[in-house]
Amino acid sequence: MPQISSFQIFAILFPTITAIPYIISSKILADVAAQNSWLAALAALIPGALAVCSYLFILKNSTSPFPAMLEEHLGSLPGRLLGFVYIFVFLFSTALALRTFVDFAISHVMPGIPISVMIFVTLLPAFCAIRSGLETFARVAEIVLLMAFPLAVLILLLTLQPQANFSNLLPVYADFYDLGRGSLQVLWLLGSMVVVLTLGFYADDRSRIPASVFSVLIFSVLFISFTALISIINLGPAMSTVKSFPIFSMARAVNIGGFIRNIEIILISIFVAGIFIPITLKWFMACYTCQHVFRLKGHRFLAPPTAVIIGFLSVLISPNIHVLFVILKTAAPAFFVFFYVVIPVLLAGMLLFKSLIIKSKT
Amino acid sequence: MVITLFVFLIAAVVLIDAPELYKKRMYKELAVFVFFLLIGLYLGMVQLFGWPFYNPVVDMIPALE
Repeated sequence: MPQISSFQIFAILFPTITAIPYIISSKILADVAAQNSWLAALAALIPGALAVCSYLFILKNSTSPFPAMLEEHLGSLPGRLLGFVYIFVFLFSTALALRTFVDFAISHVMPGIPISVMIFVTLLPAFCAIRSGLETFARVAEIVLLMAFPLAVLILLLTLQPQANFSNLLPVYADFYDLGRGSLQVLWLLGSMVVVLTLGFYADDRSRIPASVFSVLIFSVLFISFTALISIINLGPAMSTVKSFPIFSMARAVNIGGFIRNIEIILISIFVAGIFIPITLKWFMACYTCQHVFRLKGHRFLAPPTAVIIGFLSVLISPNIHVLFVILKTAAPAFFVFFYVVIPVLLAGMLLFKSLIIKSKT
Repeated sequence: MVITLFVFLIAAVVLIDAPELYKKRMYKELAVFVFFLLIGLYLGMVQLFGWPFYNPVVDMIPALE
């Protein structure tokens, strides 16, 4: 059985949540909550903490990893049926992450490269990681985190030019409807932490998982909020909404004394490294869920056929980048919040209710 | 050209693991493997030959916007 440390859990979960928002969330959040987008991201801390508490409570009261725990708590047939649905949820999630990256790459980095080639090249390292096993993937995640995260923050700081306008943040007011919609945009990303229900069982020290998961929550929310804040200060809410990838535009515009410039290549490098983590993790979860639902002897042999599904599904998800952004702004949050947050919270509530009944009887 | 590449892709996917699963008599694993491969094959046909495929999100776009 593979063993991973609590830091490796952090190293896997943090890029899984923040890799895609680093590029797109400032646009989507500005579209929903305008100059208060950074506040909306911060507000997601509250429902995010509720979700994390639910995950930890389920983890504490389960003897088997997700999705086998669904059978343990809901019964054999409902648990396996729900597990079967989760296979496709994870496959869809992988395809969506892949398509977001591919659209960014072929529209801003390498225009002219066929989308099929881009998909193949992106899936190849993830395929190798799944075949190599969880421990190898966790070690790669550590390296990616230590190399990419400081550079990601550095790029955000470098984009703060002298012409940055802090008055773009005004007026600061609490329109609770927009704030709630903005929080939902971050909550579905935080919901990716549901994988801790599986990873937690492979931890070498389970007592350190809560600290690790709460660190991921706080750092992720701060990072997404900071990204949105920088985008609003530099571009304003209107321009942040118009640009497809605001952070990329800002990185391209960096010019410090004519000496530090063209740093967008660093941004691309760290994004390519970062996107490897969510794609691999969600793909691994799809194969792992499949292994438990069908009671198979392994999950690695499922990587090749699911690769074909993910590859073609990522193309079929949307006809163009505009529709992709509409999906990311509207359908994806509702869909993933239901599967990653609502169902685990309901499951935790059910477990709590059961334990209270048992206590009252004794 | 594209169809040839698609055939090679599917052949490669089958050759990576299916023979070993068959040799080890892991028939349930082989059945699940084929199930997912057929879904992938269908999605490939949708993309390459325009087979019918219903994407609910695309129809919902006007309402969502």
